[in-house]
Amino acid sequence: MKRFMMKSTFMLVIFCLFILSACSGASESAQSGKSSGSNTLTVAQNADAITLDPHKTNDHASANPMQQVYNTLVDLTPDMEVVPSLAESWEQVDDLTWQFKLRQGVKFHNGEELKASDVKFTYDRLLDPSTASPGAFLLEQVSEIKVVDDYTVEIISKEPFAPLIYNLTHVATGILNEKAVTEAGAQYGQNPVGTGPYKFVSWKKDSEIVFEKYDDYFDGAPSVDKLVFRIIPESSTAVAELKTDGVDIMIDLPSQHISQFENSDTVTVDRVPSFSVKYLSFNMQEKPFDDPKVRQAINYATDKEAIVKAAYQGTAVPATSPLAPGLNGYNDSLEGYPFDPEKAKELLAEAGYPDGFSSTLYISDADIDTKLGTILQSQLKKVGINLSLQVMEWGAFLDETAKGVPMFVLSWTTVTGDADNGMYALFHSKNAGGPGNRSFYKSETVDQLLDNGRKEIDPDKRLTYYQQAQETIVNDATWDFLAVSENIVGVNKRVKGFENMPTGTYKFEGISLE
Amino acid sequence: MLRFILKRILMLIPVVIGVSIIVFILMQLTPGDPAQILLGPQAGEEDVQNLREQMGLNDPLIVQYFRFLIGIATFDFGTSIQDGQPVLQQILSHFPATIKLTLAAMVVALLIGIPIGIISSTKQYSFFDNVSTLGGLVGFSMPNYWLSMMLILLFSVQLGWLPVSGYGGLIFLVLPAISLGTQTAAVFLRMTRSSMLEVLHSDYIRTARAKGITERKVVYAHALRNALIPIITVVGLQVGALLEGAILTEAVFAWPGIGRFMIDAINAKDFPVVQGSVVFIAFVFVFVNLLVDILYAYVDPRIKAQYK
Repeated sequence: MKRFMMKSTFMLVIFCLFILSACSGASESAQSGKSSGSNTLTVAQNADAITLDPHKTNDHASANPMQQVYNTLVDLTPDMEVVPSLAESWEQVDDLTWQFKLRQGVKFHNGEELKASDVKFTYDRLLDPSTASPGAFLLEQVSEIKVVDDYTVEIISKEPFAPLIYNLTHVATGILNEKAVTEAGAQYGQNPVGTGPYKFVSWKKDSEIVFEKYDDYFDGAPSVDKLVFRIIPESSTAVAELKTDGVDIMIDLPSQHISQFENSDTVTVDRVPSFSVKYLSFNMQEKPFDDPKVRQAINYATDKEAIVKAAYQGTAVPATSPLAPGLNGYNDSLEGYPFDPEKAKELLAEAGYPDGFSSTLYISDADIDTKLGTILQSQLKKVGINLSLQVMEWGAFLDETAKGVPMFVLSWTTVTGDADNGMYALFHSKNAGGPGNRSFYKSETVDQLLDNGRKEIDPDKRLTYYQQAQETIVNDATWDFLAVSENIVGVNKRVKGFENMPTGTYKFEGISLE
Repeated sequence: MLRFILKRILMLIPVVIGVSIIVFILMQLTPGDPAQILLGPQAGEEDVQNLREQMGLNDPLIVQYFRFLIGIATFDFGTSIQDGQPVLQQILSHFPATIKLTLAAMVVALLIGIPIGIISSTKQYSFFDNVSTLGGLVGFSMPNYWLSMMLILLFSVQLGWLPVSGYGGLIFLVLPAISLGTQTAAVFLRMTRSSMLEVLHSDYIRTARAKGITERKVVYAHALRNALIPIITVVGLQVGALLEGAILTEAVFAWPGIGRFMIDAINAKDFPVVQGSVVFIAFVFVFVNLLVDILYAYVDPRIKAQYK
């Protein structure tokens, strides 16, 4: 018996020692827990980056860390103005050719100097089919990248491609260093090298990505020494971290948590209208949605103000167009469809559905979409449209809607700030299905206007094409235009100089800490 | 004994093959195309097809399955669809965090569950027994997520004693371990109590008492050792429950373990990662149960005799 007790005790001791040793092994990457007082900026985001190679992903969670490492040729201000970044100037030489003059003396984090050859290498790699880049669509019209001299590069397109300058602000077109990419090979996404204000230090998957300030940054080194992205999937946990100074900035603060910070001494909630439009759409090839009256009826039957209040807790505005206000090309004369259930019933009767009809609404399992699904179900029921909800996980949802489903709820964020990005994929008939036009909308007028918008060099004329296209799309009731949401960011008051962006991707170079 | 262990290790092979078939079929049955998810909604059909070809997703299923199985046999779990990194390397970099959490939760559960269970059984129907039985019921029924949030609110936000979340030294482990271990502690408590009660009412315990042995020795030397067999079985099985519970706990406490890694992979339909992780976890679970079987032999000489 004694032997047994001794053995048990011995095993328990070994067990505890094992745990202790396992725990102490991790202390090298231990986080501070409290961020105040140090010159470290800690940012919480709810998902980890997939990769830090801008050509290998087009997701939101990877974009934010990448924004700190890379620079694009041109940059976008919060007011959607295109300003110089790595290119100090640019001009359109002819209909097909854009010429960019690069800033001189810009150094990559590995010490290499930025040359026109890096730009060529970057864009060639982005366009190479073997890269299979989700961002390749940004340069889809480009046929050639020409190095004129070390600091001059020309981008030549197959046909006039007016949105190019906006597309070049997207982080997927961030300039890479040829040597760094070649040296790292398949590991490049874990060892990014850019010209940006912060250089990459380490990445513990699903935990944190660490950057330090880049002293040789061409625009002056940032005032923050260290930048840490912490991956906190659960929003309540991130909110608790924000309250206890565990993080300085919380990206995508859910609207239901805003009230917790109303009288906070330490945290402000920064809100800006986003470029993201939430919509309900239809398979327009199928009955009853092939009839514009039915689609208009659904628009009239939807109480958008109620949706904004109930689903968004007031942190959104009703959408009136497929584009969000503030975007280049937005048509502010459109008023959308007011809430008018009587009119909806009339239109349904005219379309031959006096008693309404039944259909299936597909939604993703995201929190906001399930809320919207239930609200829409009850609102449309009042005009006789009975919806059954089909909730799907994101991958399956994308798959099904690409094939065509009767009704679905989705959103689109125009990340480049330009109407082309917000409309071409969604409404051009050549993009029907998977590429973006999941409504299978087919309008020769809109196709023509969107093509013109791509080709037109004169900015004013270009805008009128997009404004006309929006008008047609709204009149056709291609979507039920639901809401334009806000980008909500929780910011500790010791953070100065944070700039909220309608695109939802942020740069932290201008931030200082008190 | 050695033969027994070898036999059990060989039995791992059919288990792993079985698990690999099930997980492979399940992943094929779930809707969603990894190439489409990776390229996003803006990708053209041609690009999606090219990527499918590159990934080998256009090959017949049986070819894909055997590629996967041969990979496992040679410890090559393939590369992640999302970031192109070797799957085994990623599993090994996430697994230590899960092991730490699971072991710590197990320690919490053992330290709470077994002593209270023993005391309860020796004082059946006393105030202590009633309170601990009620505590066991509450501990077992409490949703893990709710408990986690309450712990964070109390110890991190209100009292400021412990960090809210994150991964690092021992201090980061306290709340997740308590949160994950509570339910298991309740299971151990109830198991220990009932197992002990059964033994305490048996004839040889009465004989031992009649011989005048001290109550302490009766309980700890005679009763506990015989009551341990079912408890050890439950401990082994609870490792599986803890690994499962770790998925949620890891998400709440931003703990970079294999659970979160797998959820991300499932959402992205990252076949190699999901398949590799499930097989790996199955392997670990079977291995733990093998350890439990070996432990029986040490606790109960009768079982040891059977091995010979």
